Amino acid sequence: MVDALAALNISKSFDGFIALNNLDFTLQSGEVRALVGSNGAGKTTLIKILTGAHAPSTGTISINGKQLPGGDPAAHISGGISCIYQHTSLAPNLTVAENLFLGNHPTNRFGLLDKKEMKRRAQQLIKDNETDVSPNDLVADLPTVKQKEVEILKALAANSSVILMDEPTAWLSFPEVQRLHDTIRRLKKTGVTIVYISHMMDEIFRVCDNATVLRDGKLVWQGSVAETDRSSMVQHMLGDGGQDTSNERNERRNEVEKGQKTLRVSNLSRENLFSEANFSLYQGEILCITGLIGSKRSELLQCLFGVAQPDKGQIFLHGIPQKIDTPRLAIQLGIGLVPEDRRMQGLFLSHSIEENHVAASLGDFVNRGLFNRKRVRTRAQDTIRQLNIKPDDVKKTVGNLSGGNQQKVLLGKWLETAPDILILDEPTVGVDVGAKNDIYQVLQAFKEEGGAVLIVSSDVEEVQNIADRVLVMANGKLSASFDAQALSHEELVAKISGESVNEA
Amino acid sequence: MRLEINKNIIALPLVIIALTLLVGYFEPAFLTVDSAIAVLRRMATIGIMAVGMTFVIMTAGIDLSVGPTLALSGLVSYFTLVSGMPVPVAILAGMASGIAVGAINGIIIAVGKLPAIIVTLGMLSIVRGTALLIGGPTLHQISGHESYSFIGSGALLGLPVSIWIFLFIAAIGIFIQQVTSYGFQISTLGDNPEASHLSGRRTRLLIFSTYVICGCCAAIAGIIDSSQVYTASANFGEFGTELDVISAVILGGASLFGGKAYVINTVFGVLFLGIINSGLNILDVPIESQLMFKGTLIVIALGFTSLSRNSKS
Repeated sequence: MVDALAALNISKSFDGFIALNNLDFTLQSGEVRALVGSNGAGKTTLIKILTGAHAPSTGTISINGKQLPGGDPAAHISGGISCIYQHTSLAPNLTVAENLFLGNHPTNRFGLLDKKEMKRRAQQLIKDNETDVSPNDLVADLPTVKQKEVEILKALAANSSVILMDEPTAWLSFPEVQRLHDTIRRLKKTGVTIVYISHMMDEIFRVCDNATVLRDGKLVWQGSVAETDRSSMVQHMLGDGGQDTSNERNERRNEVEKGQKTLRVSNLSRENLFSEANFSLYQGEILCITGLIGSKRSELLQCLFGVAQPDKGQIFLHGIPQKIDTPRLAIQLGIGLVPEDRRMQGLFLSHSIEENHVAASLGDFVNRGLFNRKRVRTRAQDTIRQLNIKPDDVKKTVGNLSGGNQQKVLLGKWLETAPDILILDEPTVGVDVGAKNDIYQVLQAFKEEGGAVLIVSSDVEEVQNIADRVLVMANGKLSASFDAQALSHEELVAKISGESVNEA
Repeated sequence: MRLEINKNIIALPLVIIALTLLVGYFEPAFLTVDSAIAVLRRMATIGIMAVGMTFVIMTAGIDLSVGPTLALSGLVSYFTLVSGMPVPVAILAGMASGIAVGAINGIIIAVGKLPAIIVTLGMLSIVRGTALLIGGPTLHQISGHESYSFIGSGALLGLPVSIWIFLFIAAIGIFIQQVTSYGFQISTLGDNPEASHLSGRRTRLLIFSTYVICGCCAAIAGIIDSSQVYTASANFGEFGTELDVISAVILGGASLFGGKAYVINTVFGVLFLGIINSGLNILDVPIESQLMFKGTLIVIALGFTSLSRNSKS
């Protein structure tokens, strides 16, 4: 039997960073396949290659035995692959019928749009798929789940035999998720092949036949979901922890055991995001908050840095309650935040290394309004040396650096503010191994000088490598803290996947 | 202190020199000192406004209301003079009117978060209306105020005062952009507003301030304009003024999407525009062909800047 979708030997690299490494991804007709992996595992790259948005560096893609050109979105759609993205890609101000045939609308003999025929075909499609919408409904007026169904119809209208769904349930309520799953089961019966990309383990086990797990651009596990369970799936996603350095680190941690409490968070809540978060952060420790993507950890950090306001609860710094309402105030209070998305939130990409370096601590480099460029240069040069930034030229434009070096520049910028508390959100996503180790060393040094570090990370290997204590966040709820050493890799993985947290 | 020179900066002066020589080849009178002074004098007001506009454009903003602001400030100065106030008070009153327009623009854009192009387009109409309300459609002759007329018509060391003012404001602009913390903050804000906010910058105040600077520059241009022709009128700064100003900034290599820009390059953009204007005039090119030629040249020049920008990234 010919594979419904066969992507063979797929590799993709960006500027030397290997996003996908020799991947085989084949699906049978009528199969629902889960595609899982943590941030930076290569899922997005694979989707982009399958939809033709990126051309693969090597490898071929074929649908029902017919090879597609690669890197040509129009050819991939007409070849039978459609993608439903997390955010809707429908035109909100057009009707359902108009959306269904956008781009390949039926025409009459004058070459003009044949509205009657379009409506008839839309009606037929809606009826065949038991969808509860009218061809004349305006898309903007439909609830999100119906918009998703219209997107699926649109894929069917384009004769797609393979539909990719990227986090399709991210914006849906629970009954809506059920409804979408019913639709998926119906499609499956008609022989449509579905790739279901999700971080939600429950959903994967409910609706998918098989699963493919990616990590660091490689296939790490593939098989039937019936023959595995949640924690082994999460284990595959997150990888085997590095246990090698733990003893040495244990000793070091004991030395700094009784530091001062610098940050205490009490009953912090934000509606619909997280609730009743309680924890303390001590001087000279690294505290990691881990969990799956979507567990609202970044949203918690935003409240600590004045980007967003909590609805309830209090934040204490050195025992004093503080209302942090702007990042400016947070910085003045001695907090630094290395944000999750360095390109969008962290760096000034068309500015140089030295200019980025001082952007959060301008006060130290300004004398009566004038910029002390000489001092800027010396400080930036020191940091380049300390963090091993390549190229070691302060004048280089940050936008042209590799991901790892960009991350180091960003870290250097926050260390320059000499914070008491350094918060990092996914500090090593898209960072190569060498830069990762450099970053860990710098964080260890910062901690040993009495700094307090709070890290949000989905990378269990990283958490086990660097954390003194660990908190697990699942669905907006924070667990009690664990000693990082007291927890085995398997136990931590189990907690992250939500099993033990529910039992407790 | 060493000025940081943008690499692109070499191209524009070379084009300017080539263009000057080309016009001079057909009309040797163009290559005289008098002619150079005439070119500069014609561009002084556009140049002053372009310096202010550079800061606005660095934040990915735009100010379309500079033309009427110029007219308003001339009228405010005129009426202050007529009411018997001394010349310095009249100048300050004119500048204050421009600062007020800029402050209104700035508050709506920075705090109200409305798109600059729409706010200042509305302001273009509102300020013109205000100027007509104050001054009516008539021309108001300014006579008997020697020191006021000196601003637009006098000369110092052989150079018209208006050119001195342009050079002075350009120097201040270059200084602010290159050496001060403020200039750095504007440039990083334009590069990445969110990172700027997360780095503790007061982004709204910064955006607001650029419109105040721009309004103030437009007002200074208005004072020069009115004193140059001994007249204030609500119709000065006619439609197209703002386009000349914005063109000069963009020709200098600033991106409408914000980010790094150099005031010194804007000054070269102003010179470039001035030489095209005067050169076409001196060669007796009819006005309709002038406009078409100028537009084409601007698009070509922009094509080159965006090409060099793309090839770098």
